Amino acid sequence: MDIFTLRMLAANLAKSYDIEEYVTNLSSFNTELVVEATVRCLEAIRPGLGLSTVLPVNMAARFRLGATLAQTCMELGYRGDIGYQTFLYNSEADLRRVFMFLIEKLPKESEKTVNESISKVALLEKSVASAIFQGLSIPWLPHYCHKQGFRNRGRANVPYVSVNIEVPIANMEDDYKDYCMRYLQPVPEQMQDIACFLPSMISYNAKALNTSPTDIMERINWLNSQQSEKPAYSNAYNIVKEFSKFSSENKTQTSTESQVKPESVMHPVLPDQETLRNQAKQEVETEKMKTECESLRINIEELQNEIKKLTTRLAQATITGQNEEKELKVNEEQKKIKAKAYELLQDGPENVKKLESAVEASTSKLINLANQWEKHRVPLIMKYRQEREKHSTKANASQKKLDEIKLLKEKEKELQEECRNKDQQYSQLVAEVQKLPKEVNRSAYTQRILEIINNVRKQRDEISKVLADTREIQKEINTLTGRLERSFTVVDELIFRDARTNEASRKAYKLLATLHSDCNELVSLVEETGATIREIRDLEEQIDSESAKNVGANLERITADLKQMKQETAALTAQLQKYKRIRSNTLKTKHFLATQPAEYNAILPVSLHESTKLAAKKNVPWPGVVRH
Amino acid sequence: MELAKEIVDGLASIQNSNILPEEAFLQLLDIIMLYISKNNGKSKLIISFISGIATIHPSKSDLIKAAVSNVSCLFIEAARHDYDEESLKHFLHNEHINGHRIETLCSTYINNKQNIQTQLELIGNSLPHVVDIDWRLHHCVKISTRFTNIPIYNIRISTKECDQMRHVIFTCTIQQLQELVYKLKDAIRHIEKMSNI
Repeated sequence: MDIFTLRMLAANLAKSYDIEEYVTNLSSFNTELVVEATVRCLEAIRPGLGLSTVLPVNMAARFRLGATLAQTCMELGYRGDIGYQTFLYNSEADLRRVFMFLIEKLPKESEKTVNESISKVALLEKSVASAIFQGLSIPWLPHYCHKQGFRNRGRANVPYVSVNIEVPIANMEDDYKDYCMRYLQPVPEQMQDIACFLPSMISYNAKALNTSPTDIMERINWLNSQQSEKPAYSNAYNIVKEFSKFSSENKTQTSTESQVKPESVMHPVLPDQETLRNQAKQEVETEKMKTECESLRINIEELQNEIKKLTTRLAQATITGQNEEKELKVNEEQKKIKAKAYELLQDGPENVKKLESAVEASTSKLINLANQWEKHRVPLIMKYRQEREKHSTKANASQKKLDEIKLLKEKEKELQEECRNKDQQYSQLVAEVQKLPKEVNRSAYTQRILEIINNVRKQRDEISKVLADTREIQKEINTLTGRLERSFTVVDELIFRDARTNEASRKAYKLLATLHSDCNELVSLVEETGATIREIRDLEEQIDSESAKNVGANLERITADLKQMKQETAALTAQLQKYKRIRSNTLKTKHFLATQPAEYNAILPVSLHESTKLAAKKNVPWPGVVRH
Repeated sequence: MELAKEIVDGLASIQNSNILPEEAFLQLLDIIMLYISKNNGKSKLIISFISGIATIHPSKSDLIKAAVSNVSCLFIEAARHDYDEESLKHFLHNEHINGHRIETLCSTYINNKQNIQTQLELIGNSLPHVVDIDWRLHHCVKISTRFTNIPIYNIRISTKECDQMRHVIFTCTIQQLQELVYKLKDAIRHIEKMSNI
């Protein structure tokens, strides 16, 4: 059982942990194996201990490793007797107890699965595993049966071909609506092959989601650029263009005419005089017209220039006019004030008095008004403050309530999430339970347990039977000894009475006495043999238990280890002595150097000097010396 | 998953039973499911139904036409993202679509989810699948120049791509065949290990 669990453990930890085949129970574990198994168990229970699985060669290090192992076991809560000797000089019973404790303490598989189910990668792996498992559990079918279902997964036979579909949009103009109602084909009919339906729908959604916004931005940008260019064109550039067009057309016309003319002159057919005259007239007229046109054009340009100049002048004139109007207004006001002042100047003091009285009246009125205003204002301000306080308290309360609502909403969300997680876990666990092998021979185990219980009961019955027997026997013995005692006293009295008179009876009495004493001796001897037999049995048991602890082998090993330890200590003391001698030598040399002159000091090799200094200063133990 | 704004609006607009009567709604769902789960063999049946879309609710045929595409979009996207009934309801709730027709929509979806996913699986490009294998053992005793006296295995692997059968034919010696078999066994072992996490 232990071996089995340890093998399982080794497999779980996926480490190179080979148990040789001859190891069949715990008693055949050697020390290395014990230590390694313990360290691995402890690593599994409490990762990050950093103990080495290999037993060190050095005795002291061995003891230390054993002691730390015992210490960690104690920290984990082991109650029994434990020390370095448990691991180094193993006895089967102790080891069994320790390993049972450790294996109970091992992290459970279920905890692991719970931990795993949280991480996304593990979930993904699980789903992959379940999908593969599903695939593996389906029986083989010939390919022409793969119409649908799991077998057909990943065997696409319809290419992804999508069609641009047109879908009626709500809230459009009447014409469009009418078109949609009467003429627009329903979406499935917009495609030639019905196989395009699903891809088209997917594309439609994706297009509506992704491409359109960028498109609109591009369009807006384009439109903006167009608009910014347009006004620049239309104002100045267009007019110039028009003019230039006009003139250039004229030019081309004239040039073509001039080209045409020589040809017509060169024509062999003789033209009439009139026609010639007409032609000449026409030519003159055209010339005139051209000059007129030219002059008109120049006139127009001049006029336009003038118009421009005039418009600018007009603008200037309007601005100046406005300014002057403003000035005029200001002057008029000043004039009014001055006129009044002149009027009042005629009888000055009276007017001054009047003015003063008017000023006073107005000030008193003002003060009155201010008082009244104060009267009205104070209660209003109070009211305003109260209202504001009320409002603020209300706002506070509402804010608190809002916060509470927010908190509640968050809580609700969390709870929903938790609920979903729990559901997921539940379904996972249900799936696992279904996955687990159903025919675990539980019945066999229970049967065996029942058998064992029956056996125990039988044994107990037998034991009680034996106990009853012994009690009966004890009783019988007691009654028999009582009867013996009584009959002996009766016989003793009878024979003793006759013994005075009869010689034979005296002899008989003597014999009886010897017989009685002999019998007593015999009984006591029998009892003694029984006791010794019991003792022997106890001792045998003790011997068995002691031999189970294989004290002999352990003792041998302990003595061997002790020898090794002694050797090591001897080596260490030798080293120590060596070191001491060297130190004393260095001290001597130092003393010697201190007494010598400085020149001598300089001659000495530097390295030696340095080393002696260092050794003297630091008082470092030599490397390799381990203190216990 | 994500749906375009027009689709969400369209879905919200058909929730009102005054605009779209209940009977027409159910009929609409039936027709949509027929379109989605179209089978190439049954295309005639579908053609007989195509005229159906216009006749569901003639006075609002534009609404019906839009609804066909919107509802089928919803179903297809939900199936693509492997939603269950609960999460679809949650999604619709988050998009502020409310109404008693959500229940009908979700139940129709969950009844046909497997079907939709099967149809979706059939779309796309895939590598050719190995579906079958045939073999023939030739023993060539002699060719014109020398004795050979070795067995030759002729292997024909049938592959399937887009309903088209193709064959990969090759010959090999027994060692090569063994190597191939070991490779295949390795692959099987690997997959079995994957399934037992």
